[in-house]
Amino acid sequence: MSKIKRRSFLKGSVGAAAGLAAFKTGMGSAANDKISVGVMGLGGRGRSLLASLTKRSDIHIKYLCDCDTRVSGAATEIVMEGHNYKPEFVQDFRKMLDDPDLDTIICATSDRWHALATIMACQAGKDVYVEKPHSMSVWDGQQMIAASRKYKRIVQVGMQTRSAPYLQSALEYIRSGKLGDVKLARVYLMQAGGPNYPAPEEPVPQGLDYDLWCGPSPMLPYRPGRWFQNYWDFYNGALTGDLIHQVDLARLLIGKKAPDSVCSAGGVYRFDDGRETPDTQFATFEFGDVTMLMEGAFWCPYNHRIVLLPDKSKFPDWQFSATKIEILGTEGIMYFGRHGGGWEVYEGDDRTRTSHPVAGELSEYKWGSIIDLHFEDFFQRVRDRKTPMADVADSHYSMNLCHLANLSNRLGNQKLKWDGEGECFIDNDDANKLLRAKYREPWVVPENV
Amino acid sequence: MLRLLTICLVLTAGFVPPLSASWLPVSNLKVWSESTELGGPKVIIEYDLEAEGLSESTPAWVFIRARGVNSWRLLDPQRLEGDGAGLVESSGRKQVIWWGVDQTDYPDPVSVEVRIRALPMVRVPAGSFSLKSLPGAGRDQSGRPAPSSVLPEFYIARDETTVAMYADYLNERGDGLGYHDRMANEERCGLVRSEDGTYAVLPGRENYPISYVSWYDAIAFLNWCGLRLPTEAEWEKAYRGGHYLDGDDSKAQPNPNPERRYPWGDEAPNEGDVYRCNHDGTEDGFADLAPVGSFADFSSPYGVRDMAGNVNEWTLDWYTTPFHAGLDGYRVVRGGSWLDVPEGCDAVSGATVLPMKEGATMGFRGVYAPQR
Repeated sequence: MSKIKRRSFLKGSVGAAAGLAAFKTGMGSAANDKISVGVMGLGGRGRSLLASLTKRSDIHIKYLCDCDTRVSGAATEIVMEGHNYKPEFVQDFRKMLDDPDLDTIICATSDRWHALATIMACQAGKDVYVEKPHSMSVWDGQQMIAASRKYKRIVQVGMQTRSAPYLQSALEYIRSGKLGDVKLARVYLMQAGGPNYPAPEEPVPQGLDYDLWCGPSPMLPYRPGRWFQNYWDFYNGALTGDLIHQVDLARLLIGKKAPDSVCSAGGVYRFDDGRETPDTQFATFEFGDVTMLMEGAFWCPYNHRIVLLPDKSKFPDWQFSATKIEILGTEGIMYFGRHGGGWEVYEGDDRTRTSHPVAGELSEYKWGSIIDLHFEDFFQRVRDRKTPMADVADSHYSMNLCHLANLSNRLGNQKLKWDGEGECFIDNDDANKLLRAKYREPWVVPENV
Repeated sequence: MLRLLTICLVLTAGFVPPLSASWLPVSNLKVWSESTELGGPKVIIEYDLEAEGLSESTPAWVFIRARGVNSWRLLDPQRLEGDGAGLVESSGRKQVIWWGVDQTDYPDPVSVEVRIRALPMVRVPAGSFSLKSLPGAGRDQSGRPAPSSVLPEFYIARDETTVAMYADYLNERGDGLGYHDRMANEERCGLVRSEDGTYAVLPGRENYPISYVSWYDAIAFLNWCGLRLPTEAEWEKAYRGGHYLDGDDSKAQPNPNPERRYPWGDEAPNEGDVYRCNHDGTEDGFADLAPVGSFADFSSPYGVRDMAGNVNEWTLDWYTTPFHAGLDGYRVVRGGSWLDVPEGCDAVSGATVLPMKEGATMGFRGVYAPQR
């Protein structure tokens, strides 16, 4: 870790303009060369990441953090069993940021905290691994990049398949021209799902810091449960929040950054639980002469997610893969699977009317082991300061596609034209007003990071 | 012509658990056969059940397992007559009559061993209760919220399943399944496997709750006993009590606090320097797990012990989300553990855990439901 002159960190107001940052002067507070880690967000995802982190011997998990103290036990147990010590539990993440000896923050909170926590962590001199979807608006993403660059912080977004070796071979295959001219990418999240009826209002439970829980989002009367996944002020939308993986991978595979336009279709067609975000969402992105189609729905029980593929000698059943990516060229079609699905190319002969597989790569790494690979990349980058596989700047282009699709949907499924350089909509003030999320004081993404 | 019993029944030495084990004491086991006029031979099993405090509200669950040539088998209480199998409401000499042994169970002349085990249960009468939490501790919203619920009568184990009980089960299984190496941890479990494949409990660990058990392990053990896991609703009713503690049929005993936060009421587990359950930290007297019944003064309204804290308890229920609704999805655990903050041990908090996950904070207890 490069030595940087230490400065003091201004506590107090969130997003203080030109806040002085505490830079690290050494490798970390833990013994030897271990990188010290604070994990923020101890729900299901946070615990999955902890299970991966505790496989490593080159890190020290110094803090576990969640605004709800009731989740501490399950997370603590993972670290105690994996690393044989008990980390300190803190309810307020700022206590971690105030620790000058803490090197990194792993942010696995709900979406609404991703941007601000990352920015504050960068200001505090921490490198960050932030789960996807990493921003709630285009502007959030811009500010996250700005903070990362200003404070020279490594910021890795949790798009784990980027670290899977089979992505590289797929990219090589396409770049070699063997697929022909790529004209179309199709990404899917078409799977089973269910309604999410909001619970009745209740008093805020003991142990939950509700102000911290809400963060930048509105502080509505407390209700338990996951209702918030269906409201724009709290979430990116249950569909795009997960489609981001496929959108990102497809964008890399077709080699594009920003679209010229977006047009959505869909809405709330299936569930009567009062949700805002769609349960059916289709979007078309135009990248010059290449098009990406995004298809998302929660009413397809005949499709199945690629989670664990127990037989490593087989590809997913592409026809019924809920989360597949298809890249169509003039010579062949590539099926690509996230999180260990591998890839496979089919070609066909229109004279004999036959099609057959011609190339592919199975993945040795599945699901959990891909998380391990992604963390390996992150921690290596923390040491050598090179650009991580899912650097926040590049990930931003993929996240923008989800934001654009959502905004088109929110504006009545309008076709919107996009200026990729200026990152704004062309001739559409209503859309441009939505480029920035709303924030609740004091949890506001700062103008000047 | 009377059919003579052709099975040679051997009186077992009687399965007498070690003194410190958690099964209720059973002794003086006698097994013999008698012929009948028309029903074929019957086997009579008698034993002494020496347990204090048994009653209609706090019976013992007695299950009988028998072995002929091959493996052990649970005897279905519905095929047994007498006062000594299933729910047993008093101590003393008990008798079980096992009909038709040679018709469906052991047709060839074999030696049959019998083992009797009993564990304390608590009756939860039929009736309504305040289902304060939603399914999945508020996370499963695939159905409309139900603020109250009505359950039929059921019986729940008074205590969490113990290390001694689980060791006994593993030794009878004998096939190596159900054991995890981390169970040997003497501070967090204390169940070790010997080189010869048998299992032993480290001294002093007998009455601690078994830990490092997956959901599947819990299911398998309870099947072995003739019990099952509680549903979330059953668990919560046992924790908080029904609207009437004597049940809706009589309604003579209203629950003074049907929406209590904890089994004992609304006081925090560590309020006023009184420690009411085993939660995080050492102030409650335990750095890790505590023997079952260590907080007996703070049991549920029915007398169910350690529902708050100690070990998280697996329930039968799955947790449904838009992404996890399959057989490999999450299950729900309730009650908090020795690693949870006090408020994490309340009536409505719960965690969602993958069914294969076993850990130092995971345990369970069983339920018997006459109507199912």
